[in-house]
Amino acid sequence: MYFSGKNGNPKVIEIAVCGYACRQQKKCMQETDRMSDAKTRISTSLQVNMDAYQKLFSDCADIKMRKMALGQGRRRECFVAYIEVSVSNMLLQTTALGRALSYLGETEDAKINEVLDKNAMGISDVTPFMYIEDAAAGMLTGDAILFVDGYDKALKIADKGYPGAMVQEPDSEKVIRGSKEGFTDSIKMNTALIRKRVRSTRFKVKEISQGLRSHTAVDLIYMEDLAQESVISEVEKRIEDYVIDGVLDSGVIEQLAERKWYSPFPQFQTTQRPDRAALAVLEGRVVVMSDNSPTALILPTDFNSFVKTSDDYYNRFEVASFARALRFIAAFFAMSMPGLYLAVTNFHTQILPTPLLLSFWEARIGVPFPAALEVILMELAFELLREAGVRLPGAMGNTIGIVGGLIIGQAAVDANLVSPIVVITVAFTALCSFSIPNEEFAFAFRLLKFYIIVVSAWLGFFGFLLGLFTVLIHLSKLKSFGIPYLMPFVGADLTGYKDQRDSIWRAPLRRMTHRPIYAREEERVKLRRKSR
Amino acid sequence: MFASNNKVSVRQVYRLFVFDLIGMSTLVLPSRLAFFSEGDGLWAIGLGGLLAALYLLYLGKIVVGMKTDFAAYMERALPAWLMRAFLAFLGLHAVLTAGFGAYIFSDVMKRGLVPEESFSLILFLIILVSAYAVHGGIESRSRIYEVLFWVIGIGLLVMFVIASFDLQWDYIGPFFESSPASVAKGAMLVFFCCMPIFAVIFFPAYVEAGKEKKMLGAVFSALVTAIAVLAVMYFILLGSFGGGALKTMRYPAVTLMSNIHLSSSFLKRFDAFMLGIWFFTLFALLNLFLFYGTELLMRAFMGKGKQADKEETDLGAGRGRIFWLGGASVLTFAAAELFYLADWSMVYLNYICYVGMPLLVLLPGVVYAAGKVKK
Repeated sequence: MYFSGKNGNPKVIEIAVCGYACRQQKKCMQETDRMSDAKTRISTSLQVNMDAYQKLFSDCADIKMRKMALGQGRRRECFVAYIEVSVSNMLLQTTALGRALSYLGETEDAKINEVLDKNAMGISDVTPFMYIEDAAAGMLTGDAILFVDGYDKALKIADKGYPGAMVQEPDSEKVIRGSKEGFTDSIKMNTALIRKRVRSTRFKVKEISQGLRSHTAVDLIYMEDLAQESVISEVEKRIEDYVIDGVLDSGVIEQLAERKWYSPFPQFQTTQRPDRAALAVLEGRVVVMSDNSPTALILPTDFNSFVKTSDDYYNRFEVASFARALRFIAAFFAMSMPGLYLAVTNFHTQILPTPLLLSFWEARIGVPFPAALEVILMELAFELLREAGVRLPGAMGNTIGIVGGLIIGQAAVDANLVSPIVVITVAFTALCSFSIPNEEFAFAFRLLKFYIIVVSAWLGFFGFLLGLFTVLIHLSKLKSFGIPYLMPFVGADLTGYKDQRDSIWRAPLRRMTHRPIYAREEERVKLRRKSR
Repeated sequence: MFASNNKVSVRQVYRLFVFDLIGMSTLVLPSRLAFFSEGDGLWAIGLGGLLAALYLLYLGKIVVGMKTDFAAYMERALPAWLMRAFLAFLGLHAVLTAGFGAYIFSDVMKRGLVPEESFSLILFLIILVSAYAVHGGIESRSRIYEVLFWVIGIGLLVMFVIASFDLQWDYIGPFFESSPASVAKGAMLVFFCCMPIFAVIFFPAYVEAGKEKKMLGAVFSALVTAIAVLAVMYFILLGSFGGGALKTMRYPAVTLMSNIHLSSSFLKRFDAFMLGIWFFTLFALLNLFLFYGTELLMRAFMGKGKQADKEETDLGAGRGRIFWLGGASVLTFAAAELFYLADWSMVYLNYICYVGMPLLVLLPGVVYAAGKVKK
């Protein structure tokens, strides 16, 4: 259907929405089955159904229940229940519910049951329910429920659904070149945004309902022929390992499904960009999306993946390689720069030329704190500024950056509270951490920076090396769904993996012929020249 | 999952052995070689390398013939008590060598980077971090050195290039003046520093089936690389200090780095940074022996079927393995402290000369022959 459309987007989204609704309703039914063995069969008496339904939703001010009359003679009573805001209460011809009621209003009274049974109202997304509880679960997905007097089923009629933000440019992962679309809070919209980019029948969306009370839809998105089956089943297993009250964001799933939960390094890659998620799907990875969250989880992942950006593949290889090399260096210094400064200035001053050493010494004259405390205080102050900037509204956030960075920084130097060289070191470290494209990944380096500062302040360059080495050991032990975190720098010739030339050096696109190790071994080739 | 198989790749084997071989040799051998044979130390390096290559050839024949790793072969070839005794000896030898490595390592760090800190604290931290690395198993260990290979390699190359500018060509030599016995003594020291290649007989358990010959090839390449690095290092040290001064130095490579002064540069000296090379290479050596000390002692005392190394938890290896790793670490610490406090280095070197090396040469052949006879 969507292949024939001139502008495929709305239709694609419509298909995803319809599919989603059916799956969601099915899952909710299953969950309802589990929670209650005894269900209430829907009666032919509207009053009995109304009483049962109203009892179920007593003290729920947001649930609207309206009684109406249908049929040409207006003698068939009906009862519509829906969540306020999620369903248009205007009942216009443009809404499915409006059209259904309008159609039923013009149908002969005696033929209404037949029309309902045959779903002949001219709308596609209608789901019948046999039980009151199932109907309630269906309504909670954001659609309307219709009970008709003399008819022993309830019908769920799709409407606009829960309110949510529309597609916007994501706040993080900014790119210069490439799509400006970002994920929204609606899982329906998000899966559609990925499908819009991967229009294949092998693109699969498996849905799991998670959260005993929240019934949150969690989608596993992957290419059927590329993703490793073991990874898909492992993801499902891990997601279903816990019984939790509610899943309010994909971050909850991430934390519950991570094996090395104590690691500061994320073992799931996150993205707010549909093109990034689509690329991951094409690499044979699995994307996990949770309803009400604009952040998709990508797995398996590795160190290298966190340093890549979408536009690395849209730019020329020289530009992309240079940017990547910069980011790798930035990641290193985001963690190590303050520690290195302390190790050199406190322990190994012999490596600095005398004029430089003297200028460092002069800059510190009058500063009342030891160098280590000075660095820690400045780093904490900077983290505080960053936190304040993030929490404040947009314009004020920028202001706090200027006030904190320029005015307070300058004042602190003038008051001899800190030395200018420490300000430079902290600012350089901050720049480096900003250059890491993934926020969660950058956070790991920001935390480890304090560890490196402490060991370097204690043991100088020996402590610095010990600190770096322990981080490296930790990284070497980390795996994301069986993939070593340090891929592709390690174990390249294991498991038949062929280097895809996509790490620090990004090869010219025409030379990047293989998928990464995440894809099935027999499906590693992703680019080949057509035979002439 | 599909990459968690307790196997290492051939490339990882190569890089692991390069690190295992160059750490101790480049640090402690030059002054000893100069002491025995000055300019002829280069021939000692060549001869020692040749001996090590022959030893590797001998071990290679056994590896190919065993069709399994040495510990598993011993279970088949020897009575249980004898197998346990041999495993315990090899385990204790590994721990003792780890202790010696830890002592050298801590001593270098203390002298070069933190002279005011206590030796015991430095040693404790080094063994703690090493135990953390060993806890990750062979896969983790090989990944670390696969990543570090070029970092260290480029560092070493930079060091050689910078040092080569200050070479005094008059210092190099004299050649063909030392007695054959002196050269042989130097060669034996080089051979001793190449003894980590003994670990190759345990490697069939860690490489994919059918890749044993490739693995042996990788170890041979690592040996050649290490000998070449040692030769270049010795040549540069000889050219920088001369044989007479070189023999009086404890760690001449560290002294060399502190003597190089860079003009018109942001940094005046590189010595602190260059010590990072030995930091990582000596860690490799320490990890190697601590790893095998743990594995062998665990096998010797826990026996077949009770090995805890298969027991995996969310936090890494199983409790049994952690217990043996802890035990091996404590013994390593104690041995290193003894080397430092009681200066038992000579006792250790005598042990290596008269007991350790002969046994490590003979044992594989004897066990292999016993296996053949039993068959």
